[in-house]
Order: sequence, then structure tokens, then C-alpha cells
Amino acid sequence: MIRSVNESRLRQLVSATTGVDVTRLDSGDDLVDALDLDSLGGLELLAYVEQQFDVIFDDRHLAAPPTLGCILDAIDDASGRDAP
Amino acid sequence: MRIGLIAMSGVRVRNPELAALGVTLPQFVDRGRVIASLPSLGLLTVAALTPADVEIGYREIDELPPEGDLEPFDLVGISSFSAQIDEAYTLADRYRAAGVPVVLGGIHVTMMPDEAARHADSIVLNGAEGAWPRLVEDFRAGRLKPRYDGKRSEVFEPPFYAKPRFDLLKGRPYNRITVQTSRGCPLNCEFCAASLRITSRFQQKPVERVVDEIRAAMTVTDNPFFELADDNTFINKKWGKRFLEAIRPLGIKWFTETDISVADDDALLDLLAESGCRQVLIGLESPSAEGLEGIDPHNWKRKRHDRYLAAIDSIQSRGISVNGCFIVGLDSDTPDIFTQVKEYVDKSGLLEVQITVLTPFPGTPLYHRLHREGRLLDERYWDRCTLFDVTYQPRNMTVEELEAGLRWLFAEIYNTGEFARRKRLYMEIAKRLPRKEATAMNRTGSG
Repeated sequence: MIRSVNESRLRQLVSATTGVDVTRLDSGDDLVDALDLDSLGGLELLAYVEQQFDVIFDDRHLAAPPTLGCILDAIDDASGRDAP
Repeated sequence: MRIGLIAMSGVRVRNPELAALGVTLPQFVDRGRVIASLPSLGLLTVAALTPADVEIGYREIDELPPEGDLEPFDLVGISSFSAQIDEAYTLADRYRAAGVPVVLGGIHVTMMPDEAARHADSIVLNGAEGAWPRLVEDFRAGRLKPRYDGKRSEVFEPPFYAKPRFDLLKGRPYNRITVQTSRGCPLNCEFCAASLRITSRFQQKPVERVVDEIRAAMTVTDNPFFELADDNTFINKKWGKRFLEAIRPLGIKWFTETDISVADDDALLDLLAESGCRQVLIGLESPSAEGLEGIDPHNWKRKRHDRYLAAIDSIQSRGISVNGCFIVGLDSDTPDIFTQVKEYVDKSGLLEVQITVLTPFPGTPLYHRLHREGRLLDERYWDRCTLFDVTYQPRNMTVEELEAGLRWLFAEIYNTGEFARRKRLYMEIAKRLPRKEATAMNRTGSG
């Protein structure tokens, strides 16, 4: 339930940030490729997601391809780590 | 008439241990992939200097069959760096055996004309400007000469200048397009094998011509990420600011090479960020001032060493990553250099790092000095001019120590954990940057 809420919020956030509608993007698609981001643009997006979700991604998530699925895993992981 | 222009490209490490390591390290793979997919701006310029009634076939070496029949042309032009020159010669020999005349050009050919002439019907030295049009005319008239000397100055002025044929790249999967704003560099570092070796003095292209070229290149790609093919883009800061203001409205993303003095001017750095610059490559060369002694004739880099860390911070705090380049195996380097470089990289906060080994490219002052000193390992080693293969006897360590140290440093710098750490560094910088409005323009670009 939380993950589906997060996914919906993440898709809206990415769409608003990049100007590209990603509501139908497959969760396994690399966002850098799908959104024509340069490498720094991809990191800027991740940084913004961290700020908006109030999480800090683990380094192993930064090493993973920036797909919606991986970002959601990172949010889940970070939220779980930070949970009281 | 059909002229084939064939580009040699790619980074091919010869040392098998380093090659095996390199392919597994993510940030090394990333940069290698970028370099391997750059078009040949030199050949696009040659195409532009060719009469309009001549058909041009622009090809990458990987598109040609390794054996058997070659695509038919009336004349073939090949340009190559030193590391691929033997492959270029082999291809030239194949075409000549098939009865097709071959012209060879590029920096290596300019440095080694007699060697290149053995594999060509004609060679072009220096730039193609001032030479190629005459060559084509002579070829048509059946009087091709064995050698043509291109211009070493005035290359960006009429009647010699020609806008590169970016249209030849349409439909090709390059992830960056190259545009040149200058040739040459007054620093004249001993090891440098770039365009300063085919230029009599620093040449600056007028801003309007650069903008015109960028606009032309933008029509052939959906992903307008540009790599400026300069030795040092911001030597002239006044020109630099006019250039940045002129390209700011274009909404491109781009990369270039320059020197550390780019950070001396805050207004220039602000414009750099506003105009879409995503990364600057800067030759830092050594973590110590002693290492920089004698690298350039006026010790310009040595005198600026104490500004390195502040400059990196100033550039990167604006959201522009610095690709800091270090050379190992300099004459002052001992086996401690590898840990020193690693420690410096950690201290500096560099977002990207390029480690290369000192390489005596033919014709450079470094080559001539090491040759005089009897320190070149072989008389001929062009296939190992990869920036990662050791081709000379270092002063304060053995060849094996240099090779092992380079492998160690690669593993320390380019592993997954370090790559993630540098990503984290940038993300923290990004959080402090003003957010940009999302538009199609600031989204596009792959680099």
C-alpha cells in the first residue's frame, strides 16, 4: 500500500520535474535513457527525490541503474532504515 | 566522384591486465563509451572543404568489413590518432591493393610524415584547411601530389574556413557532437599531442561561427549534448564570456577542456553554469607542486597548484563537475605517487577523475627528450599510445611498478563504491543549487 502510494507520488514528481509524462513508463526503464537526461541530470533527479521523500539513499542504490523500480526500492529501504 | 572518409575511434588499452580491469570499473567504462562514440570532427571538416559535386561517404572503421571487398570509392581519406595508426595503415594498404588511392592525415601523420607516406598516395600535414581543396582539384586533374601542407594559422577565417558537415551524422548513434572553438594552447605542456602540434599559434574561432555550427549540429540529433574539441576553451576570458552568453539561449548541454584559471573569474563560472556546461576537464596532472615542475615551459601549472582545491570547489559548487586529470609516471614520481593521487582525489571532492600514464606521443617535446635520454622502451610503440600503456622507462620506479601502481589506482578510483561516493558528492551539491524549471530544453542531452 505504502509502495503504491510512493510510486504514484514518484511518477508525479518525476513528470513535474522533467516535463515528461512518466505515468505509463515501465518501472524497469532506465530514467536517464527514457528522459534524455545527462549523467548529472540523473543525479539531480535523485537528489530531488531524496529531498521530497526526506530520505537518503544507500550507496548501493546509487550504483544501481536509475529506474523507477530501483528508486522505489531505495525509498523503501531508506524509509525502513529511518523508521522509528 | 565518390570520396570515402574513414574515422578511426575508440580507446583500446593494450595491457591485458589493465584492459580486464578497465572493463569492469563503472566510471572508466562510462568515459570510454563516450570517447568511443565521438564523431571525427576533422573528417567532417574535410567533407566541408570538398567541392559540392563530390559525393562523400563518412564511415567509422567498425562499419567496414575486416576482410574481403571494401565499399568502392574513387578516393579514400583516413584520419587517425597514434594508437590506431597501424590499423589505419592496414586499411590504407587494403584500399591501395584494390586500386583506390588513399590520403592519410591527422596529427600522427603530421608528426611522422615519412612513415605515413609509405602507406598513402598522398599525405596532408597540419589542418585540412588550405590543403584539401587543392588536393581534390589535383586528383581530378590526375596530378595528385605526394604531400600537401595545410594551414597552421587563419584556419577559422575565409577563404580557409568551412563549416563542418554535421549533416553526415544524421541518423548515426553518437551520444555527443563535437564542435571546435579554438586550436592550440599557449601552455605548451611537454606531453601534449593535441591540436597545438599542428598550429603555429593559438587560433580562436569567432563566436558567431561557433554558434552557427552548434545550430547546424542541433538539427541532426535529438540529444544535443556537445563536446568542444578544444585544447583549452577559456584562454581568452573575454571571448569566453561572449561565447557563453551567445549559447545560453540555445539550451544545450556541453562539455569541454580548459585550464584551472577558468575558476579565477566568478562571472565566467556563473555563465558557464547558466549556458549548460555540465563538465570541464582540467589537466591537474599531479597532486604535488613538485610534480608539476617543468611540465610546461613557464611553470604555469606549478605556480597555480595551491589554487587547485579552491578552484575545484568553486566550479563544482555551481553544478558543473570537474573531471580532474592526473598523469602518473612523471619524472618526479616515486612509487608513493599512487597513494598520493588517491588521497588528493579524496581530499579534492572531484566528481570525476581521469588517470593516465605519461605517454610520449611521437613528435612531442616529451618524445624527443625521452628519445635523447634513451628511455623509450621501443623505437616504435604507436599502438600503445593509449594513455594507459607504459612505453618508456620511468625515472624513479620500474616499468612493472608503474604498471602495477596504475592498476591499483584504477581499482581504487573507479570501483563501484567510489563511483557511488562521487555521485553522493554531486547530489549534495545539487540540493543546494537553485532548481531549474522543467523544460524540454534543459532535459535533453546525454553525457
